[in-house]
Amino acid sequence: MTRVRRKRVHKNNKEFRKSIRTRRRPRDLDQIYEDIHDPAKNQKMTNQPEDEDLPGLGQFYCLECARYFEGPDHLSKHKLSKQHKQRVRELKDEPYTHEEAEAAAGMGRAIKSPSQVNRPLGVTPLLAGLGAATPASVLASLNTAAPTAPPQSDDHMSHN
Amino acid sequence: MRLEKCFFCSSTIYPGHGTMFVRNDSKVFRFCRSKCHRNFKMKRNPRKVRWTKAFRKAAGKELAMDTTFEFEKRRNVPVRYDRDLMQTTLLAMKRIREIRERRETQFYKNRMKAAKEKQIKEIETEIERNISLVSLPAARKIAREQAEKLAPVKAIKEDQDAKIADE
Repeated sequence: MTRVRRKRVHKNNKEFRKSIRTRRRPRDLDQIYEDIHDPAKNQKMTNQPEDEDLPGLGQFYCLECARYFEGPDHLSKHKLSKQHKQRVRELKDEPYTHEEAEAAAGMGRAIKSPSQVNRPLGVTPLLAGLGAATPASVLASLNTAAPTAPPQSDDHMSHN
Repeated sequence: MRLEKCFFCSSTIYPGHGTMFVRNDSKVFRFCRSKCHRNFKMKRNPRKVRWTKAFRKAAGKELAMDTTFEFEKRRNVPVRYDRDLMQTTLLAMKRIREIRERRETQFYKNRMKAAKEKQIKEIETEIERNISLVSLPAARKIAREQAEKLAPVKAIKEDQDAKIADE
């Protein structure tokens, strides 16, 4: 037996490098979340046509993990596995979006904590309730201690 | 020119910087640096990674719910240049920044106040729990004080003993 390499294995690990590259990227959590909660997509993913190129003709598909299995036994065994349960847990929260990233950067104010984001699809909690407040009205409310601030109109804050 | 925000850490991306990833469903993800891109590729959730803005705001580390955050927005309609409008905008930006900074400082102070109280409480419970470790020197001190109080009495007694011995 030769020595098994333990150091620098992270960079030289072909499997690891393959798993994180964006070519042939497996479905992301937000896509899967839509697959589950959007009725049309759910219907499409659960009733797939037979495809010879896929394992088990594409008939044994795990929606949460976005994986095809050989047969019903494999699928049911997978559903008991740790990986599957982990994925189900991850999918409980609403997926992270670019809007949330922008809100966290100071564009918009409502940030939900992970426990608060269990909402049905279609409701965008981040920007809900922001529509009514125009910058002018907000500035007026801010302006109680600020007589120097000028009146403010819409659509030009980010104009460079 | 548009300043984008990083998908992962929410920092500003200036033109010519960062990476853009377009997924096969044509959804666009922007990253400020390779660190953020790599973390995205590893499928990490920015809400759970402690160094991201999303985490800090969701976990209540920073001011998140405030009216001062409602001004900066993505606006897709360009505005014709107007000198007065520009002036008032610049003034407003400065003023809003001042207000936000003041509120952020206050938020931080309040947060630290609660943390201080918690810290004191923790120290108190620790002392209470391990009182046996600290009571020994205290007991020693009491014993020493009592000994000092009894010292003159002892001296007199020793004198008497010595006299009896002489006789």
